Amino acid sequence: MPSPVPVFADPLPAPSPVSAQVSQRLLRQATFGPTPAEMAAVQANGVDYWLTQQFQLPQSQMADGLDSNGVRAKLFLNMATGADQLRQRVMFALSQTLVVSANKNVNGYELIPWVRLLSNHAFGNYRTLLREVTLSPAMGKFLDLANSTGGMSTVAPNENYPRELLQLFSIGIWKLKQDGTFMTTAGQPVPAYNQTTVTEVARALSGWTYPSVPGAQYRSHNPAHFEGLMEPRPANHDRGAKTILGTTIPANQSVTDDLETVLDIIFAHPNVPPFVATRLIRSLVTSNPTSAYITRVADKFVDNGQGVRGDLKAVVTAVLTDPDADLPELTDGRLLDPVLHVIGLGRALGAQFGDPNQFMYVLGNLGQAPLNPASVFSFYSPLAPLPGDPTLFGPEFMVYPPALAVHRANFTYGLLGGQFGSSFKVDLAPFVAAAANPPALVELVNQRLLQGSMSPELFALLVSSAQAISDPAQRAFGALYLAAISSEFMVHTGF
Amino acid sequence: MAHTHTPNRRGFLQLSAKLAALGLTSLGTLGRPGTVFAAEAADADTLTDYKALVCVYLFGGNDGNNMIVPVDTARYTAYQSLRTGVALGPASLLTPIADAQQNPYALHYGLPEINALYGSGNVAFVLNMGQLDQPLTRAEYLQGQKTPTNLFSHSDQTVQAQTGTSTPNGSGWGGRLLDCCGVTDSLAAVSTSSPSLFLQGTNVAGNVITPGSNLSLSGMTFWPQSQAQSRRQAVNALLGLDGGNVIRKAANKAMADGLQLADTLSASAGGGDDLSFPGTSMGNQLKEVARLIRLRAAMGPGRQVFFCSMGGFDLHSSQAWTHWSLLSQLSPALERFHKTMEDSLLAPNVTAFTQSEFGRTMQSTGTGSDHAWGSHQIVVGGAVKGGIYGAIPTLALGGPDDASNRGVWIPKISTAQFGATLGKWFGADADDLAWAFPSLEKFTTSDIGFMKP
Repeated sequence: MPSPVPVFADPLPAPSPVSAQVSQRLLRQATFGPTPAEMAAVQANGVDYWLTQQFQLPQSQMADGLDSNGVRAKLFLNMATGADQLRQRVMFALSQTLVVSANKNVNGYELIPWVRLLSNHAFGNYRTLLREVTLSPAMGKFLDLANSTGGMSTVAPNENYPRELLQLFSIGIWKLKQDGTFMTTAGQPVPAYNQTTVTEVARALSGWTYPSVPGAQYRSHNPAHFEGLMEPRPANHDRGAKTILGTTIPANQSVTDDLETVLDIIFAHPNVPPFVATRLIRSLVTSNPTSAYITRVADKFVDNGQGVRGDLKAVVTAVLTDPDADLPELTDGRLLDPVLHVIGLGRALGAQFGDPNQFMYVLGNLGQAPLNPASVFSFYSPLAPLPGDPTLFGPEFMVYPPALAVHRANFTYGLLGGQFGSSFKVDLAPFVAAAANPPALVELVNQRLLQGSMSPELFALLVSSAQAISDPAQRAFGALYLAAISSEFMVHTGF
Repeated sequence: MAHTHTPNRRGFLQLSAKLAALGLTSLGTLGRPGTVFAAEAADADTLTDYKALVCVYLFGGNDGNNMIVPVDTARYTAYQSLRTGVALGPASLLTPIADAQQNPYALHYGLPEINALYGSGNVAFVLNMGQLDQPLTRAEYLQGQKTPTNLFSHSDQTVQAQTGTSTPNGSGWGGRLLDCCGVTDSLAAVSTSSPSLFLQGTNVAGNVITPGSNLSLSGMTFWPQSQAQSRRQAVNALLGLDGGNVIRKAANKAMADGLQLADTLSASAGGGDDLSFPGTSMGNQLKEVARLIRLRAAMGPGRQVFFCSMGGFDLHSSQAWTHWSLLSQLSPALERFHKTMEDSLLAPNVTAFTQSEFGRTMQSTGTGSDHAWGSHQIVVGGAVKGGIYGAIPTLALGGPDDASNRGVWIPKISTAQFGATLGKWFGADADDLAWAFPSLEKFTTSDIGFMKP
């Protein structure tokens, strides 16, 4: 059956060929890793063309009726093989900021709407995304906003979601300048809000319950149900006036109006543009962006060029087309996290992906089972310093201490060696066929795994290492394995 | 440890300028420059004995109010009336224990093994401990005197509990105590669960060795052996290639350190086969800790800090059964660990303690409780002076120990004092402790007294 041809509403720009280097760096940052086909497409048509196409591709679907393992597997396969790579990559980034975990949301039917939510809004507006997240029953369960009750003397409205909404999803703890640095007073950073803010937001967001099961009787506190958005319950809402970040919300607003007002106040906070910009840059491009890079991206968040604030499509474009995305400095780059590592390896080598649940436990041991972050702080902290140089950031190193570095290498060995059967199958025959000629073998590894970017030093090392081994299969496997555990593959840098 | 801690003022200023230029002071990196105030060249060679600290971290905010309950008539009555829906009845409390003044307390019925160990004098309870910048009364708190930032937030309070400061700077107090001892080997700082800021020092980096993991590098054994060896040598050469990039350099260093650690561990394979622990996650983690302690202690003088953890303590609702279930995983595992240390003649050298980001509100939410502040912790070991330290807060909503009107206890013992008490035993001197816990000078004592000299 021929695959459906996507209909593009936005016209594609004229193709404008780019080098393999540009193509590689874009695909490393905007997808789960370059494939030969995508490399050719970007080289032929250029960055703008490819991005315009990606923004309009149909979404990979999340099937109905899956259990949590099924959802995890489908999500993994969408990330590994979906044509809408940019959407999947942005979802992966957003999912580490706007966090729900299967540790608490254990059922497939809780996770399916959550994955769809992130997919639907990955290129949407951040204000809309915040609203959908706030009213998501999955989030309502994960951070306890569902059935949070206000206006009572004995029980306070739940502060869990309000706190993380402010701290992890939008504003962050300290007042920021547009370039992401702290505002200071007398040399000290200035808190962006305080506990009173959290309490007031909790009051304003009280009175939401799970969606009603179709046909069910009206209840003030619905039992958990995950289809649709949460529903207002005026009787459970604190109707008093609230003051949030200097703005007063008048008494007696409806549950819904209070929510919209709260989100408007938060969304308008000057921290939100640099906050979101920095997280997306760190997740997609580099751990240590310059102030100028953050500013340029944050400016796009403020105004997409048409006066719209929070347009993620414009923000993602700004992240990926910035001159700093070429990673010109020796402090630029980012270590692959486990999911990007395993999928990137497979995509580069044209691996056949089967049921990833065969190796999902390994990803868990490596600190990154999709949908299963340990807590609302996700898999690793954006606070984490680079080991050995605390003046720099190295967030992904939190899941790459010495012991896990060895485990990561061993996982690579297992994947290349067929240890996971049909779930991850690499055809080694072309490498074995090239083994008689070590430079030709290493060049094949260079083209496939590193898109031709291998340094002369690594090339020479792999050739001499291959020459020292006589068995063709071992020789071929060794060249591929060593390249796959080298820091040239593990860390995305510039040249 | 004899060494000085002269902050390098000039280096600090240069670094601040560099950070600002790089946009690196963004998003919650307060105080990162502080990490340049590193412990200066403490010398591990001067150590004459072996000691280990084992942090058992209870993620989510453990409800200390229900872990140890005062059972004199007045306070137990107050406890019951304040904790509607979550108060433990007499049937859910163990045979009472007493403090030095013979006041009775009863432990949660999930802790029978800890209850028994208390009788042997190897357990201390440290009451109402938590993050503080300075001693604080309710009046001072309500007047807006300085408090730790973002109280009641999991992420912040986890970071502050693990860094021992309300202005975290990228290192944890476990890691800094190792810095004070000059220890940096790969077995010095080990997490048996997730990577942890607690273990990160300025010189030492936290490692992860999960229970039962095999660390030898795959693909290094094939025939002929000489050729396999050449591949292993190529790996070493590979780890020297970084193109000058600092991120690649750090990635190479992680792998190189891991390979060295693998050699150490494989030389001791089977070292824990004789150990019998409960088959829970906590049991398995403490078994791995016991194995690594025996391995390291046999090598001679040294220091180790461990981080074990269990999650699930964030019980906003449905607390009754779940809290029992969690505590009854903790209790037998801790007891087994202590007995194993006794059997290995290492009990006086090893101290285990619980920590959690905060306690929970005395006032319930119906079937659970919300994020609060000060809480109670357990310390176990042969060097522990058994007893109950600190005081149960005044059990009244809006009372003198309440930061709000919900029973949010203002701690009377700070994390810094708790850490310093352990740190002093660990071998850190007064200068070390002042460096490792910057807020310590604000408190009248740096030793709560629960460790033997």
